[in-house]
Amino acid sequence: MDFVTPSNGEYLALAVVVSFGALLLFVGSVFARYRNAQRDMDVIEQMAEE
Amino acid sequence: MTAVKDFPLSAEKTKDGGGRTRLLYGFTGITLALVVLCLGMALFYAGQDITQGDVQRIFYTHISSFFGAFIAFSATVVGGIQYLRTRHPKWDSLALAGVEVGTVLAFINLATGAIWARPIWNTWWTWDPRLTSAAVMFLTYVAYLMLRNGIDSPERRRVFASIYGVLAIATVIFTLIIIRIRPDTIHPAVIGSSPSTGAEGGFEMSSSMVTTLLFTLLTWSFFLTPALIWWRIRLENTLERVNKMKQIYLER
Amino acid sequence: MNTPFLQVMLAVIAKDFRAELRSRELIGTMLMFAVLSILVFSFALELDRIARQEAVSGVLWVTLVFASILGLNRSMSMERENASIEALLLAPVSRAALFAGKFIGNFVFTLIIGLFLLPLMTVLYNMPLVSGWMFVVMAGGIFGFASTGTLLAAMTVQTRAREALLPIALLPVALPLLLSAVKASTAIISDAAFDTWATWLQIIIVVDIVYTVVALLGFGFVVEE
Repeated sequence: MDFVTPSNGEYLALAVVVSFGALLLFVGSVFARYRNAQRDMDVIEQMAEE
Repeated sequence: MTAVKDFPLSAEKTKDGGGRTRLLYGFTGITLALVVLCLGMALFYAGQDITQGDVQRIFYTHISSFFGAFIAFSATVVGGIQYLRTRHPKWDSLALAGVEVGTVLAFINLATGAIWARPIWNTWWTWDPRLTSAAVMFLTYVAYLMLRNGIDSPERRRVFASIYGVLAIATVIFTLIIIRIRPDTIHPAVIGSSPSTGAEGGFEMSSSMVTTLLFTLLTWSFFLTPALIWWRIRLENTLERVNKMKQIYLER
Repeated sequence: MNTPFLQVMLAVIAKDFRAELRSRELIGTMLMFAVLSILVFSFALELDRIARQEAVSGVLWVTLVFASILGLNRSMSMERENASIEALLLAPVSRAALFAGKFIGNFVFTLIIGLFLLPLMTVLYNMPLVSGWMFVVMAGGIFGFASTGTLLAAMTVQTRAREALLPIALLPVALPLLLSAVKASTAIISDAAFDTWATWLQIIIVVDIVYTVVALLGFGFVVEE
């Protein structure tokens, strides 16, 4: 009997999506927190100038 | 009246901050290119494993994310010890950044492991010593973040977190060595020979596979992880600046 | 640092023991918890003879860990409630000696529970648990729990969540000890040759040393105001 290489590319695709999804999620969270901080700073600067 | 000039400057506006920012952008660009190249190599360049099929290609990311996490958690130890010695908050920022980045990478490590195990071991998860230890390692650093959140005084938070960050590396080291001391684990040892005769899913590597593994390992350990940590430190600096500005504004 | 290390350490231990002898609060609670836990486990697991051999050391160690967490929380929150820790810190004594005193107190209390559980579980689970090596492994495992536990309890008692955070912080860090201790105990119960489980004992000893050093060094930072 010949050995057949299993076809399981869908698991590979899932792994790629999950790992790079997690990375993107982290980068996105850093970016979102950064933007919030930036916005806070703008508000404070505005209030300080008034 | 508080003038805007009293506020701490942003990183871009300090003396050599602009140069450092450009360096970070350059580094990030290189990292991005390398990571994409790694993925391309894993998917198209590396030879297919005949017994396992395409799913074996997961393993380049799987092992690299673990070593990335290891680097990140080591940064936490360095940051923790240095903070306790010098009491400079920048070291605590490094420690915190290491934990956040390392936790993400440890999660990727666990997730890719589970996805690989489903077709090869025919189960998503098994209570193998190494898997258990890796999961607990991940949880240790979640506990670190919870501990941090539970402390109000910033000074005390940094001290406690530094100590816990140093202590927590024990679970990382334990995960690394357990495969060598437990002959009954089914997790294959890829680097060095596996002492386990019961290892399921080990494989011989062809030269294209070795090249890909080495390349991915180096990229994730020395480019992706440092780049993420660097950005996270930037964020921490910005957050601290906001807090200082709030204080200055409220105190006037 | 005027008073010598040993004297301070012994004074702290003596203080904890005297308080315990008068109130019997700590040991009583820990003991009651341990016995209940063992009974609940034996009901919940409905073990037959073979399964019992596999599970008994797990039951023993999980019970011990939670009992020790109970004791650690109690001992630290007592210090805080009466603000006695502040008085201790005012004294010109080394922090390491204070830590050593608290740590040895916690170690002995938990060890007493462990020594009580061994014969009890021998009877209830019908397993040969009382042996010299078992005692060594137990002392080694509890030593490590007590040292990290004392450090972490001193930390978590100062957080918002107080007692709730100690198990979350301690359990993952204690895993190398817990796993090794369970494996070694299982081997001892099944009468395995020393060579087959000596590695586990070595790990316990190494982890004990590392954790105790880290805790000794870290405690000074944790209690400073």
